[in-house]
Amino acid sequence: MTTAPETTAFKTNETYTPEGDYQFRNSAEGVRRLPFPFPDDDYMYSMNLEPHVPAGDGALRAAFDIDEHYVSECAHRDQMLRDMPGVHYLALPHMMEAQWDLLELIFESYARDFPEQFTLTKNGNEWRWQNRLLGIDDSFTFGDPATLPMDPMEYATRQAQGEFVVLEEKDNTLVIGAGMTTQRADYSLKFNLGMSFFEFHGPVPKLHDMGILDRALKFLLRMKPGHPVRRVNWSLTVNPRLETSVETLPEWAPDRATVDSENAGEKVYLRIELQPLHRLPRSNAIVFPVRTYLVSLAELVQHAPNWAKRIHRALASLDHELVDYKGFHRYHAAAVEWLSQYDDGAPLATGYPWAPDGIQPNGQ
Amino acid sequence: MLITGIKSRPVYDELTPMASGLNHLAAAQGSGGKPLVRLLQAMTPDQLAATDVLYSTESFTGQNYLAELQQFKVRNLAVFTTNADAVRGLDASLADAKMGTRLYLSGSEGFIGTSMQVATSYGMNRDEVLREQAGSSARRVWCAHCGHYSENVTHRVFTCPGCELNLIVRDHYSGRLAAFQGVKADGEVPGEMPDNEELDT
Amino acid sequence: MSESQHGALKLRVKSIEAVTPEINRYTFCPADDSWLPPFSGGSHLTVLIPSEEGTKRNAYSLMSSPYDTSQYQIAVRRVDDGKGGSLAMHNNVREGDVLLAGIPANLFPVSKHARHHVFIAGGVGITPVFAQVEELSLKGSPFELHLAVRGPDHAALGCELKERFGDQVTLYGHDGQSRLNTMEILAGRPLGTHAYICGPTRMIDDVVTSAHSLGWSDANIHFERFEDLGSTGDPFSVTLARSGAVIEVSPEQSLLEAVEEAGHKLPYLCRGGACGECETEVLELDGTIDHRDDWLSESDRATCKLIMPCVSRATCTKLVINA
Ligand code: HEM
Ligand code: FES
Repeated sequence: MTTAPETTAFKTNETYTPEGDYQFRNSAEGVRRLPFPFPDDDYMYSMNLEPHVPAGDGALRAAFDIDEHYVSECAHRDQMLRDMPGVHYLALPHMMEAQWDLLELIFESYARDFPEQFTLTKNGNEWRWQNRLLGIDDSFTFGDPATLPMDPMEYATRQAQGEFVVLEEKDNTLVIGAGMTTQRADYSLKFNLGMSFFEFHGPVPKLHDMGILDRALKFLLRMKPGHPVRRVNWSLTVNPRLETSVETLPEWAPDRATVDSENAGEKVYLRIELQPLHRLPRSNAIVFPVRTYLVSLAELVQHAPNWAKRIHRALASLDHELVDYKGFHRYHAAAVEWLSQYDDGAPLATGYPWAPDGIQPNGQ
Repeated sequence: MLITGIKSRPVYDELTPMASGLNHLAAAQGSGGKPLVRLLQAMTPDQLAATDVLYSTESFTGQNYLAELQQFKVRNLAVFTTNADAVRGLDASLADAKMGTRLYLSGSEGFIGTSMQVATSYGMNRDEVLREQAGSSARRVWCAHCGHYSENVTHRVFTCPGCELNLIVRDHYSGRLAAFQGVKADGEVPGEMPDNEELDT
Repeated sequence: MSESQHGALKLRVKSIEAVTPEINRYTFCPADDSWLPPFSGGSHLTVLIPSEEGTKRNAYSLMSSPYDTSQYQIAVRRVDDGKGGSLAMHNNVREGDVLLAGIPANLFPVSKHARHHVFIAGGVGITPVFAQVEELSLKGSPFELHLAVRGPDHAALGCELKERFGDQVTLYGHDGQSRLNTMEILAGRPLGTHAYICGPTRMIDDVVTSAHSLGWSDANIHFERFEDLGSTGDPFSVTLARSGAVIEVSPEQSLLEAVEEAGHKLPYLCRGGACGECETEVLELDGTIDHRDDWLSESDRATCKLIMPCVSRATCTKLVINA
């Protein structure tokens, strides 16, 4: 993990769709800064929540990470919102306060962590927001929706990488009240809106019985403003396709039948989800951001050989219920076979890469 | 009582008088009349005198409990010929209702779900409402691809009238939409269909 | 934002104002002239108060506008026979002093789904209501406030609210005779009404009983028992078996923090009692363990052979852990 974002070259002509011919790739630095989600050779769900404090100089340096794909991802979001209005961004009426909270959190974080790219100037409730990457320089009144061209949450998250789900606390659980989710991994925002913590996790195998959900919810309900926590999750996606919602399943699911052990390196992408949760101060809501990173198996082999070995082992030994749930039973074997060529079986460090002595992308 | 492994589906109750309530509102549809009769039988005369009943005779299975319901000395019995009208009637009653009111719902899952949407809009909470599913186990299904709602779906795989795709009904329920989720059944390889079983819960 | 290490805020006392014979209102601004973290109506601020017997941690409701991040306000009633925190606030704290405080947290938020809000308050219990009704009035949500005071000398805060919100506020007892009647206030309310009680335990019990008798369910009745807030626990000491080190755990820190501060390491992940990572064996114990985690099973708790150092504490004369 060596990249300082000041030196990041932001790419502008990447695409995440078949129409755009999937013009997407990661630089070597872009790969090595990833929040690689496999601390051990075996993978199983766990209570992997930890305080969201800055770690290293990769993806965990900032409260909300941006990387070389920032500009193209914002363009993709804009495209998705235009293609399917009312599907990827939704907010229930009582979430307006939380929307302003979220705008404030994202803008303050970006301005603090990436001062070369973003500036937030406050004069009481009169705010000026400068986003030099997207060429935006706007002034508005904080708290007054009439001074923005759209909902505050939509305005802020159109300029942010990753998805954002906002939950209100109600009857001792968390209920989804709003979302900007143009990068959904196989679920529907429209369907999940209004669902509670146990309800929207309903389809996930094992989680209920392992007692993880119970503990996770209690922990989240105790979250306080100013003390964010994070977890990582992962899946696999065929092609660098960000938008894989239930709604568009007919478009992307056939890709799963195109993978074989020859092309798996190029076709199969590890989809890493970094999820830093925050309690929002005015609304008492909780925001669940999902910052999604795509990296092909071939890119891992090329730029992060240790991680390629690790994912080979984790996939090879993965529980079948998880293989089915994550939706890659059709090409699981092909991916494992392709990766096996690059795993010499040497022992690997344990722990996340940002932990002391954790697994590094390359080297001993 | 219906117990399934579907984590997102409401856990239904059995209708019994909620003694803490000062006023009672009971809305049922078709086969839902049966639990309602049982509920009214269990009520004290005072509770009956503080109870308003709304009943829709629209039924998927052809069950009608109107005659039985008319035997009880409730404050008011309103009869509707369609479920949609009964839900509108419920809306009007809740608009004037006071704190201390208890709501009882019974019938198909779709009827209970749409009635719950109305109750929620008046700020009623789970402690103030009992729900009992009755009659057919048919599901109301929302198509994830075109947004069409299909009522009374009885099989795991069916064709969406909205977009003509073959849908598989997932065991995942949204209270806000009052519907289960339907997604393309042969998404990965067109024509390769999963088993089509009868939905029995 | 005005933040020092560990998320603590540095606040300068901008002004102190006596609002009744017993209650002072304190206005704080950020010590570094930046801005303060925003909060929601009903939030409390845990203030670290220097006193002769060490630092007191008292939680006070924030009463300033949640939309003003330039200052915080709290009101403190002097309690002569209390634990000394309020006395120290009254006797030792002066304008211009700098105090440390935690980031505001809310255990008493207003319902986002209520169709109508009814506040019933007594005495200094009125403080959270200031911020709550400010928030509601900005959002245009309907509310009313019923406030009981002990007499004209004690009515200043209520009169401020009456002036600001007019008919939405009813005062009782300021004239020495009118009395607040909870049954009358709660009867015949529309569905979706929520009640908030801000006052002494007697008042809370009275309103809860009336509401129940009118058929209200608990989900619509909200209150905060102030005794629960602020204190983290009593100090205790712990011995690490492997090194023999004896470590003092102060009321402000967790066992895990104390061990780390003394230069030792314990495993951890969530630091919130949920993940199980820090589970540690108890080798010797004279006293009881105060389990505050969501990890250990009931039987594990009962046997006291395990402790979660990130959140749990002990009341003991001796504690040795396998670390
Ligand atoms: C409060 C914020 C959260 C939201 C909004 C959220 C949302 C979701 C959603 C929508 C899914 C997909 C479910 C489906 O298949 O339809 C999911 C999966 C999952 N969630 Fe959460 N979640 C949250 C917090 C957590 C926490 C705190 C944990 C654990 C500590 C957790 C563990 C999981 C796991 C293990 C999966 C399965 C992921 C996979 O295998 O790819 N979630 N979550
Ligand atoms: S660190 Fe997670 S339970 Fe203690």
